[in-house]
Amino acid sequence: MKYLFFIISLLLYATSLEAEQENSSARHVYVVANIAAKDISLSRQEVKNLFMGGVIDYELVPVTMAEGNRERTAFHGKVLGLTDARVRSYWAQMKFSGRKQAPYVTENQAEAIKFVQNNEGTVTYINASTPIPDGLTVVYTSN
Amino acid sequence: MGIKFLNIIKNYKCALLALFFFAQHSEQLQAAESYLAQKDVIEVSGFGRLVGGYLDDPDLEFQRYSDSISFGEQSLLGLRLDLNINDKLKIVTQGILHSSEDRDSEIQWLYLQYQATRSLSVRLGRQRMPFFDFSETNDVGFAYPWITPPLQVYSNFLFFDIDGAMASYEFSSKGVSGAVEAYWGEFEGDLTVAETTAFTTVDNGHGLILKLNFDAFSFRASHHRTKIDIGLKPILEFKSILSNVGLIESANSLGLAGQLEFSQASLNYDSFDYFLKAEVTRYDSDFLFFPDVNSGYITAGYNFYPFSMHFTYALSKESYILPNNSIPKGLAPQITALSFAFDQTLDNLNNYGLESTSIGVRYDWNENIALKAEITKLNGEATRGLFTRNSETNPKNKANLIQVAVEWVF
Repeated sequence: MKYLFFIISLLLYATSLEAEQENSSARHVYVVANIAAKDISLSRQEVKNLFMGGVIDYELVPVTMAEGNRERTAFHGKVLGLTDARVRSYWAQMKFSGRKQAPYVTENQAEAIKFVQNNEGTVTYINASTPIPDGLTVVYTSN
Repeated sequence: MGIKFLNIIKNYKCALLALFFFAQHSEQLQAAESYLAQKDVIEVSGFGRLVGGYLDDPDLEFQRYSDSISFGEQSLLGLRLDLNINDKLKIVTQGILHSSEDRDSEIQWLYLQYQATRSLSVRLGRQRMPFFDFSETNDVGFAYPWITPPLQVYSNFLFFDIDGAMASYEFSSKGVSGAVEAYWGEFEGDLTVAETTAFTTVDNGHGLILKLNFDAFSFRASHHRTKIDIGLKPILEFKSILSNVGLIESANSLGLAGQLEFSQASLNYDSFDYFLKAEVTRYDSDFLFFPDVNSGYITAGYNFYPFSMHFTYALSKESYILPNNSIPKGLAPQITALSFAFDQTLDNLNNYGLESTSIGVRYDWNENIALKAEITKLNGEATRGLFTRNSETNPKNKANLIQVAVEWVF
């Protein structure tokens, strides 16, 4: 009986976290950059490649947010198409194979926006309900 | 060139002294760091795994697992140091403490990495020969869904840490991204397979790797070629005896050295809810003691955050081109004895054929720690295979391996 209670509790816990991931990933995100050229538009593959350590045609530096931010989970779900857990294991593989450099990490969305506003050539993501910050250009909008 | 290549890099004491030197001058170097790189001069990171396992047959042993619960086979602790000299140049070293008696605890890698352009990077020094998807992270359990990556593909005897050079070029377009890599290197050291250790040299190892990413799919194909010499002592001694009595042709037919060709292809699909991994490999050798082996696996998985589960099917088949025994029996007793010994040598050739199905679950406890459980149904072939102990009571080597693991990165 104890085990049954434990298993049910675990499943309920997993269901709530799964629901949170799905809710977060249902939110739209904007990818915004501090760039001189205002007509740049990135494809989803380019954004994915950029934030997963790859190169794209534009010299942009990705800026992400720390674990626990809903915007981060939403970005992983909507744009990378991955759960937070899968993104972690991906970075473990990249880090210990010495293959790719993880994005710059900020505490939260406000910090990410501030950082990008202060540094030309950087790019981050924001919740689509957030007004477009001054000086930044939307280079991608999630579907 | 030869094995003497990169003697300085191979001298680990020198390298560690250099690390301390740079550590003491870290403030100066820190000032030169770009704010965007967000790198410390010395980055220390690591990974660990505590893996327990139990085999449900008292007469068999698989990869040292037996019918008593044991944590001493795959548990390990790895430490990695990245010494960032500047934005483009760094020295990387990684060492691992293994719990297994079959694997040496040592500094595995030590290489210089130069980021020539955003797309092109070069490595020089001791590094892993990149045969597979997870060649370089085979010991980092946090990076993959299994506890034991399918051994039919990820056999320990194919993890050569070579001294050499690698170049990697990345490319991308609106819809596709990828990379092309090429390397060259050499290896000299002990390799252990199924309790047999042999001093092995890998000479002129080289290969080409192509990686492509498209939406949720990623594809990797590679081809590798090397000269290899497996110094199996008992066989070397037997060959020497055969040569001494004039049976040169028979001695030469027990080939321990030659050319090895290796091909690999893998396909991954990663979505929010599901993942799929498939990898196939093939070895072709032109000498007896490295059989031609075809192997592969397919893994299908489901994510229900923070859990994920996988189902994996893996298979390997090998084939030997056996030489004819031309040593006559029934003449001189000594020659007859050699003829029987020749037969026995061929009979004892390792068989790597194994079929397995496994099901596993992973729970991502937090951003650094994952817990896993896995059960693997093993179906070995009639001889030794990847089992480390065989039994007449279970000649087909059928057993279940039950494992639990804690995986972490820091």
